[in-house]
Amino acid sequence: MKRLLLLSLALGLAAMTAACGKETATAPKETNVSVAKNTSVTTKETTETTASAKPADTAAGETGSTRTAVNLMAGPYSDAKPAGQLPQNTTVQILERRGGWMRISGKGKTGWAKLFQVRTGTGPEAQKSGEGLAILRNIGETGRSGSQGIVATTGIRGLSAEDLKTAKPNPQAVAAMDSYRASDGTARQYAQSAGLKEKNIPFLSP
Amino acid sequence: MKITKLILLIGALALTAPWPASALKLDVEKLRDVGEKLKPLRQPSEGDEITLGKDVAANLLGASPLVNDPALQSYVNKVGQWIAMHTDRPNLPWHFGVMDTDSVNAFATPGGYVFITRGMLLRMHDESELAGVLAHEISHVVAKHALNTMRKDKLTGMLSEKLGDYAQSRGKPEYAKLVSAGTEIYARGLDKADEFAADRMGVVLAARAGYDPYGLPAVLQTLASINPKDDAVSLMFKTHPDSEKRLELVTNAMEGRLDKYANQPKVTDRFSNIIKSHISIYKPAKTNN
Repeated sequence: MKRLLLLSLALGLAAMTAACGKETATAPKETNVSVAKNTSVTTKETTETTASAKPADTAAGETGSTRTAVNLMAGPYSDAKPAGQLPQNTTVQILERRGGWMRISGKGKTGWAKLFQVRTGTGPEAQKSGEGLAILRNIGETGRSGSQGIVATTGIRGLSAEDLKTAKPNPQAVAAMDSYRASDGTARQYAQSAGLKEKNIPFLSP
Repeated sequence: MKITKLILLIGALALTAPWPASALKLDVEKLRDVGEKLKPLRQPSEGDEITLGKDVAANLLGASPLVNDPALQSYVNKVGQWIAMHTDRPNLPWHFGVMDTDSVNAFATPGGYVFITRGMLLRMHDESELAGVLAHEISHVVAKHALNTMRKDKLTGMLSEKLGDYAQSRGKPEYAKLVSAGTEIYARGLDKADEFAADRMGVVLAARAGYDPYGLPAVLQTLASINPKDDAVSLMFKTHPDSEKRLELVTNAMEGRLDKYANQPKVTDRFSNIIKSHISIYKPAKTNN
């Protein structure tokens, strides 16, 4: 449910950015997406990525697009049987992730693709907003969504190369870091409480 | 032996290059001086490494302060310390910090000061992603990537050679120059090969610590899906190889060797609760700049 809300927010943002003069690739249609309790915005989306078309029970409930032409596989491994091909820039639904693989569905075909073959996010406009949590953060900060609750893509409170070159030391902050340190015992206990179990694994060769 | 080779090399260059006749007169003494300067630099002691790393960390925190949320900072230290315990350098004085900036980035200074930005943390979905990014940075420290980059740099290399024990050199102007030049490498970035190596090592560290090792690839996929024109990623993208390439290389290296650990915990609930309570109390820190 929360994911759906975030998704709606992302779509709302995409629409606002689109409304600022950028056209989406395919013919847009008008829909109303409820963004938050008291807010709703008119949004433009591509016909392939309407919110209603997304199954709510998918693992990630998200869409993506293929970076390159993809040879889909029937299973999440390289020597699995082929399961059809998708051209570059196909909008796909991400159904499941397993290791370095994603099960995706698009143009009537479903199969496994490698992570790097799929761009996540609903499209070039939504990508500007970052991920759901970034939007959540702004709601948290401003207490509401809408135009003022949307993540700005320029003029952020950022850290630039110039900031690093002109930085003056902040020894108080370094001292504060000492107080946050965790002992080995604390770290071990915290890991165990989350069910993490140590493994002996050799490093990977290049 | 090396000096002889050098003399021969410079001699050969001098003979082939179209230089004025006066430049062809080789001064053996001068060449010997050059040879001295080119000898391998002194390897700083672990104490030097920690001193320098702490002072570079002070500069990084001058550029971007810590998030004022002790619970969040302690959380990141517990996760980071647990990963660091699975390296070859578990006894370094590891420190972890979340920087209060919207930029998406992570840094590590020599000796074990590891930073992740709030902008990056808020784009993550679970603790295995945090563990993966911290493990990548921890790998840079363990393999001394930043330290060696500083030593290879002409200015910092020379300065570090001139100085004795760093802790005792702290008042000297040469040391101050070393620290500020050392900070600048974070504006330029490390070798691409170092980044790929830290990805390969990081996923193993995460798996050793019991996490799903695909946390780091998941973050790389998030990064690869952010519009490169977004201000939040400008420094990160300038200083790192293409995220898509990193994702491809690291997942290819993992295939058949780490897939079997993909069912280890991602630790989603704990991460999500920490982030939610952080968001509820967050107030932006005052910046120095």
